[in-house]
Amino acid sequence: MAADERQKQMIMAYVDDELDAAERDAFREQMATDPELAREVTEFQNLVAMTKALKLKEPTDYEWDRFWGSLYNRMERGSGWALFALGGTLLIAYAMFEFMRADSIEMPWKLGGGGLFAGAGLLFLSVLRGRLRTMKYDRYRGVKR
Amino acid sequence: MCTTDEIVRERSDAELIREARNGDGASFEELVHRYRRRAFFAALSFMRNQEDALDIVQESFMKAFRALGDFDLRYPFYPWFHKIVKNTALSLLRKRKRRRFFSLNRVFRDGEEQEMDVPDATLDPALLTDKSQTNELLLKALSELGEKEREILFLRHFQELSYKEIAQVLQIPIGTVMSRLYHARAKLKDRVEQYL
Repeated sequence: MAADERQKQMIMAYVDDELDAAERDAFREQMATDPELAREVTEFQNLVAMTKALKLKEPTDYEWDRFWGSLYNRMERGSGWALFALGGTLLIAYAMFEFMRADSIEMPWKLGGGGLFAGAGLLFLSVLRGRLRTMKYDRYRGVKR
Repeated sequence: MCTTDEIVRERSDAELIREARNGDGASFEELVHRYRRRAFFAALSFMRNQEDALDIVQESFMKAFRALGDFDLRYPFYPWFHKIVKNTALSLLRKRKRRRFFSLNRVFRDGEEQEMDVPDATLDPALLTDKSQTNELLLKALSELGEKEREILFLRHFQELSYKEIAQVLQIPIGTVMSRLYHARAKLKDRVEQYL
């Protein structure tokens, strides 16, 4: 590693107090004989002090409470929707199966019912596919109305 | 006699994750509570204002919640989560940039479609608790740094991580942490000197 890069690393470790006692003493001795290094270290120390004094606003307790409430709702709704979709699919598939194999229902009813379900399923898939395809390129998707 | 602190031992991240995986919402809430502040500053280093940063943190916790099952408990939680926050933020910024490119900043000049100059957003001055001139200049200077430089400065100054922790989060050697900090601070120093 270039000596120059090692020196830069030592400057950072010194201003951030990340050196052990022996390393710190050795670095201080080096600074005592190198005024240019001492000046650079002082500049970085001033900058670090300035940066430490810069305090940024954090969300208040009220905002964090709202944050958790909203996150919890999303988590809960995600599970809710997944269960709803799974339950619905199973129920419809089973109803369809029972409908088609029932002896008491005549063939024209079965054909009509089967066509109706199959058509609804195809329409749903087609709308879903179209929506997913256009969503990629919808430039107004992120616009709040 | 035992004190309350000794009785109520703080649960480790791994314990919380294990319980959250088994459907314990309170454990996940504790995990959120433990890392929300760090995640907020991580998101802020990319997003520039509080509202966007909170959206990113929320989206990231949602992703982490869904992916908890895949998380390897032998490793610390935060570096994994930081990566989720960072990827979520960068992905949103990329989408916004694409949208901006295809819409508002395309203008016609001399009969030809050209891209309008849109200045990069700066960190929102409303974030400052003390609106002194020095702080405003420093915030502006921070905004002008590159993404990697701002990220490491936020990790050090606002998330208050040690070099070892930063190395873990960014998955780089400690020497690289020091070098990256040096170059980020040197750039910041140049910009601040220019303003003061």
